[in-house]
Amino acid sequence: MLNSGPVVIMQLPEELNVKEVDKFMQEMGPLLESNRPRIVLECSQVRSMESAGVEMLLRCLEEVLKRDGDLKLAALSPEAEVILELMRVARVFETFSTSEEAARSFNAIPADAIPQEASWYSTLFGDLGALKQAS
Amino acid sequence: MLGAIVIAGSECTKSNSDYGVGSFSTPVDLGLFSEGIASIPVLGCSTIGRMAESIRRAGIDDVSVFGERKHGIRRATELNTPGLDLAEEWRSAARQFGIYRERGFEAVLIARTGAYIECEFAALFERHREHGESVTRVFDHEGPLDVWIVDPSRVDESNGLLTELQNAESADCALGGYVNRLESVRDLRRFAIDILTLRCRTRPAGVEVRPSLWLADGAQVARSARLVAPAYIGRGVKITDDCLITRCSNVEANSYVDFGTAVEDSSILPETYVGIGLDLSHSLVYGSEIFNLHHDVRLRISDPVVLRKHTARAHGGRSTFETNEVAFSTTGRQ
Repeated sequence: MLNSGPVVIMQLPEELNVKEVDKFMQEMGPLLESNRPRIVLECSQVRSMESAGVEMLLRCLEEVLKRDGDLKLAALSPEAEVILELMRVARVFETFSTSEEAARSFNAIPADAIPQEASWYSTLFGDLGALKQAS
Repeated sequence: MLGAIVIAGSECTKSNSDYGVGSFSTPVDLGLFSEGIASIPVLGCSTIGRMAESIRRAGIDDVSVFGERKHGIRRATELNTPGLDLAEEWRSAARQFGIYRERGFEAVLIARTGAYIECEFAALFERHREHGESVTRVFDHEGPLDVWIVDPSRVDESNGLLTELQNAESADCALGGYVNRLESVRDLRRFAIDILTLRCRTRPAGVEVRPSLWLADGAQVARSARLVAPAYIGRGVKITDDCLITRCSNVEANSYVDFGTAVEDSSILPETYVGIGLDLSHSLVYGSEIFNLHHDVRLRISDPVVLRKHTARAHGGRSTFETNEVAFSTTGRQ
């Protein structure tokens, strides 16, 4: 089943402290309340992240998942990677090298959604081919 | 008679980025290793202390040590206070050198740490005798080391001992043995690993409670914490419940590792608090500073809940768990 709706890419600020988190959440608020939100957070500018910042990421993820959406991280700065690993949340998020890759991943078709093609010999050999395919 | 002078601190002529992790940009960074990595305790003892001990064990008659700072690390709050005056330390060393000459010492080994070196010091003196030069400088495959053997009767230190050593025509002496140049945070971490894995002769300061698991005096480890050897727990350290210390990690004096934190392949320098439920790996931490060697990044963590300077007073100056919950206490093994 494919997701619909635009993918929103937002840049995280350099410092994710309590004050910046409040500001950022005011911008994020409407997005989190939309139907099936698809959000990419670009982290290349992040130089420091307090626990409030990590909490914010987790809260946003929780909210988007409740609405059948998803939130992904892109272009993690080395500092952001260190902090997310330290706080044991790195594995919770899907991460990508670029925002474009992250955005494209929302449109990727899951394997089980692809109809299986009939094998080449099923039409050539008629019933025998069908038997072969069944085996 | 043979003498030795061990003096702390490299010239610190390297730029901060030469310390091998990220780029330093604040006065705090400049101050952090201003007296040289050699004064930082590794497994309970500073490099300068280990060098001096190693030289004493080699049977050198008199060993003088200059410039050993308590922890070798200056905190941000100390930046405006006088730090180690290396020039003054060298002047003191020069005076001692003069005393050795007056007492008729045949040769004096001068080591500026700098690098940590293990070798047959007696053999060095012998080679110096054979060379017949006034100064013999030691080097390894990477180049010269700040170790000289000097004939005090032929060297005049009145214009500065270090200057004399650096300008002297010296014979070179190749060193075989363990060398760690301690030029970067990565070298410091490597040194801890090499001691724990017996790649050098020096040993941790403490009691080996299990093979390759060392605890220093006053260390306390909760019963539900897991220590996986090789590892080192320093003096007065507290490891609380459900922590994991593993993969050649060392936790230095008076640090506190809070509930459920995993420390893997990392060094925690003295008086550091590491917060609850963290995953510290491939890193060196000191107070609120973290050097991540995997990502080659240095960070200052502003959130005291995560990392901060630790004092015993922060936890009421007493243990936060009852004695019967402690798996290890170096007041007596359990």
